[in-house]
Amino acid sequence: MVAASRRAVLLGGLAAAALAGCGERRTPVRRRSAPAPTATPPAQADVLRPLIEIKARAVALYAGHAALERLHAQEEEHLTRLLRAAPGRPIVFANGMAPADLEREMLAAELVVLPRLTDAGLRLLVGAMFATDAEHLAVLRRAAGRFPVPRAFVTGAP
Amino acid sequence: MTGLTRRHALVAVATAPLALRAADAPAAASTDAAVVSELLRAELLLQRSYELCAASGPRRVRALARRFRAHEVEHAAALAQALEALGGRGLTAPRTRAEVEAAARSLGVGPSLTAARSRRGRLRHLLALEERVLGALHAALGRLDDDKLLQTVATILGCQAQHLVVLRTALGRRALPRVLDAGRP
Repeated sequence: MVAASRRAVLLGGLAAAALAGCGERRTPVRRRSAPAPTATPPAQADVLRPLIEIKARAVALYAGHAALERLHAQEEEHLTRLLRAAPGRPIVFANGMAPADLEREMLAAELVVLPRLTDAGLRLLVGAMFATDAEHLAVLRRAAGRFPVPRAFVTGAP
Repeated sequence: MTGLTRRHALVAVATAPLALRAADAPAAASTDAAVVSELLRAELLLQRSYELCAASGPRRVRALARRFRAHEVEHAAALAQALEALGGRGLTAPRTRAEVEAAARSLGVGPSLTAARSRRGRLRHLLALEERVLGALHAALGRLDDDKLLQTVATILGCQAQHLVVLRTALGRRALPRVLDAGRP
């Protein structure tokens, strides 16, 4: 868990990037023996998203370490190029943890705590926190260029 | 109702202990069944409302309604399974537009979908409905007896809260207006 006072390295702001059509702008790769598509291929921006998150974590982790200066610069350049293809910069803390992971951790903990509470008032309090933390996650997803509500059940799972 | 998906199966496993619990504590199960029945009614209304908005009206609302309707179908399936395990009677979604509008009015949500034809009108209507459903789900957390059912309801509540973020943002409102979001009672 991240201490509340820990200085966060914010990679970009909460600028929500409009992803719509982003993938469609790219020139499709031509393959001679490509199999006939059976389903709609995912947008290229969505394919890149996990890689962008890892790169953003690496940039946050390497920042400020003299021995890793070169690595930091190169990973930052990788990230910049990836973001050109898929705008929506993820936010990562100095320890490499993403706020979205923290929110997910809170949601999972609240879900475990809820049935253990016998006091109805406390259940309602934690229930309202759960709703708000789910909203936080939606806002963070949106800021990272993702659809804010990918699943029908919010559990805190990645 | 749709066919059994992997998620439905997971929820079914999560709610399986309900049958045993119901035998041990009939009074608690009866209360839980009443609460779940109430929630299912609200979810079915939401599902039908999204269905209507997905079928006609402004294009951007239609696209959003299609995505959210899929969530509501899953929620309703999970609650219907839980209700069945508790020995409750199944419910059907309001069929006609008039039934949908009457159900929305009974929750104090207006103007009707027919009257709210513009993009903003539709979004405002759906936002008001979601607020009510979130309020019902939140209140249920204080009333439910079964642990697994409590968790299932919480996971649905989280999804409705995320729907609110999207609807508020689409209306140009603040995405996070409350420190503790309990919807509207």
